[in-house]
Amino acid sequence: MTSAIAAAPAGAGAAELRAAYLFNLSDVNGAIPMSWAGLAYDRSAGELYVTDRGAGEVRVFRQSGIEVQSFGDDEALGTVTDVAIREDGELFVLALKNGRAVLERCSYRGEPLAPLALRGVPAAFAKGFAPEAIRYSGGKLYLADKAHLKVLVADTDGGVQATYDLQAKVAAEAKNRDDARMTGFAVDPSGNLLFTAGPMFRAFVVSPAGEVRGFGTRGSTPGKFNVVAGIAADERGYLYVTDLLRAVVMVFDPSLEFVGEFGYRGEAPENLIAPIDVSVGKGQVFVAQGAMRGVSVFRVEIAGPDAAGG
Amino acid sequence: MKFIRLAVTAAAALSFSSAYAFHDGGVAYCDGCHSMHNSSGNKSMSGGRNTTLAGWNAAGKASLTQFQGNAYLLQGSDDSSTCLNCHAASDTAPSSYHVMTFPAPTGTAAPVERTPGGDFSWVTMTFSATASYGAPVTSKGERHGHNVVAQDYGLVADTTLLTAPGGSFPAASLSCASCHDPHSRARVIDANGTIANSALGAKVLPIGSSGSYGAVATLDEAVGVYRLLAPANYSQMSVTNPLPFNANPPVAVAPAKYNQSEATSEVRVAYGAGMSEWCANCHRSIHNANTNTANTALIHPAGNGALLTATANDLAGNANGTTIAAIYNAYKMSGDLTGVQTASYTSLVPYEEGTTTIATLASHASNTGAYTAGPSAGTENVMCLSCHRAHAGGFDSLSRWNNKAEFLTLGGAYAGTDATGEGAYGQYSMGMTQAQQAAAYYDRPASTFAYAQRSLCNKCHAKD
Repeated sequence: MTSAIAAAPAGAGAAELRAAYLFNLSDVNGAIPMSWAGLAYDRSAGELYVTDRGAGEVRVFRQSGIEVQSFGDDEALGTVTDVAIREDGELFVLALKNGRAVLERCSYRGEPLAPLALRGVPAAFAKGFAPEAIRYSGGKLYLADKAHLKVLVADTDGGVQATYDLQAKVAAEAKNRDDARMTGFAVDPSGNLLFTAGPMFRAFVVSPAGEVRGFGTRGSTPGKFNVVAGIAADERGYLYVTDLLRAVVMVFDPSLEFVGEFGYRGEAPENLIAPIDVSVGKGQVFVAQGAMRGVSVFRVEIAGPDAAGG
Repeated sequence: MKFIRLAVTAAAALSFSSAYAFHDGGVAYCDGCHSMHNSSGNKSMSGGRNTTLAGWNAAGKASLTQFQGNAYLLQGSDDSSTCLNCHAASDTAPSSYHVMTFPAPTGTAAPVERTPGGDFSWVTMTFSATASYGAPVTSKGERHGHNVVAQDYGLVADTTLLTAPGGSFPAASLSCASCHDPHSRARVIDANGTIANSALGAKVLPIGSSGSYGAVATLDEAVGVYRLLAPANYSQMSVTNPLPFNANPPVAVAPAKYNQSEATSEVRVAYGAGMSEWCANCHRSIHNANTNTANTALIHPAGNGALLTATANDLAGNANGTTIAAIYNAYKMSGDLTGVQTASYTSLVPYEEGTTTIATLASHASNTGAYTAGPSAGTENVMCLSCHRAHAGGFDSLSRWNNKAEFLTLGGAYAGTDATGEGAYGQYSMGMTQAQQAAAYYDRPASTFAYAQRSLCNKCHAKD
């Protein structure tokens, strides 16, 4: 285990972040080179689903970081964009087929079971809704149209339960409306929507009731946003935000106070280059990078007045 | 209950001007790209250099030593990688200022971005096929675009053309900053498109916003030049003994939304003047800026003097009986010369208007098909971008269409390895699928072209 560089804010009472590099996701031949993979963590099985866009397939890894299976490379599903995992292992695969986004239910092996059609779509989402990301949380599927800042929530049979059109609220904060688009997207265990808007130097938390909270300020010192990308939440509500340019993972507590960061640009194993996505589970933080550096896995512990540790 | 299919559709046209928060037409905030001291929170910000680096950046990006910055104090692994941290994306549909699909598509998938300059991921995609007569056909990725070096994004130097064709700029040093001045000291200072550069001993208006979308300078502040292109006397610091630029950037105006499928509406960048002269900063020996009536230059003209009013064969027995402009306006597709001037423009064969008046150009820039008129003023001229994309495209030599085959379409469909009939022949498909071919033509339906469409050189020359 190699200790990772971690910077944290000074001050009494602040939570303390300890991050240690563990390993890179691997197969029997060693670490798997990938760039800008998409990550989805299955908390039930402790498995990580990695959409390897460069190879055109989805790779599945155990918590130990070893690949156990892959699917999607035959293009039967189309070009896989993202995947969400239900507690029972059933998969919901978002893919592009002939230029259209399609949603497919699949077995845990990635075998197609049936297309999933959405029912009860409101008129405002019936035309032009183009999802690029899918997440599963609390029995619901969350589909995000990142370019248009729209999120549709459905049950796993496709029945629409809620929609969020966040364009107006987020664009109000943007210097330019074009900057108001999602870069990273996630859903926390409480059903809060999490997303970053890289060009705005901001990240947002949207409650199930639709209340929008933005956080982050531009800059290149610890805790500041330069080009933020991936975002994820752990079981206790701590948020993890990657910064492509600063090459760090920043950690924020549930009240959105900066706790610390780790990574930093470099070629050492514990360093990061262009970290695009992050996923968290069971004390491990998975970070997808550019430059064919694959997915690095860190053990993160947060100690402090209101944090019980990793 | 209402059932829908999830459809990827183009966003509605946006009516606002794009200034973009980061560049604002000029130099952005310094620590966006640079680390002044390799120290943050009293920690070193980087963990060592990549020892596999070669060329100008071999000296060591990413210093291990706290308070010692990296080469050029850059935050990125190299300058193009720094740019692509924002300008590359794993989009599923064209999106804003993204100029590269990353990771590059695999299998039968095609690049996603549709900016006028093109998607850099094409330069990573090599296609192979077999011609009907048994010969192998290969379209190498490195022939598809400008091979900027961006190690974090898998973009490597051209292995064949080691210097700029017609010039001396070294391929190993080619980066985004070879063409775009990240600090952008050039600016447009009036409504006539006059360009001025900051210089020692000179006083010029400060840059207040982007000039790429039709904004006009005021008495108090200038706007940036088109796409932050580098000005005269630009000399890239990271290149050894570069030949300083001798031409200022072109004047042009893009619509606010310019990265979109052209299946229904083309993106019309209103190019004004100076593009070819600017390209010649690196490609000097290729450049011939004037028409060639005497037929002696032996280089296809492209530049402010290469007017579309040049004479051309009128196909009725008069070798100089018409003009290139008249042919452009009449040409609809192979065999069909019934077009009219008011609807003759195609973004597959753009031209410069021969004006630098910002308001005129702004009124012609569109992504909705609102302005489709062809040349009429007599000032229009052919330019490098009439045939080539600036960044990359699906075809060799960065050309906007396939110049290596007789036909772009056969039997009313795009050629492709998955086509039926002759379209599947390697000499037409170049190893691409029909979907990839369509992507290279920005999603135009094949019916835009003739049943058997010939080269788009014919848009100006009507030899088909």
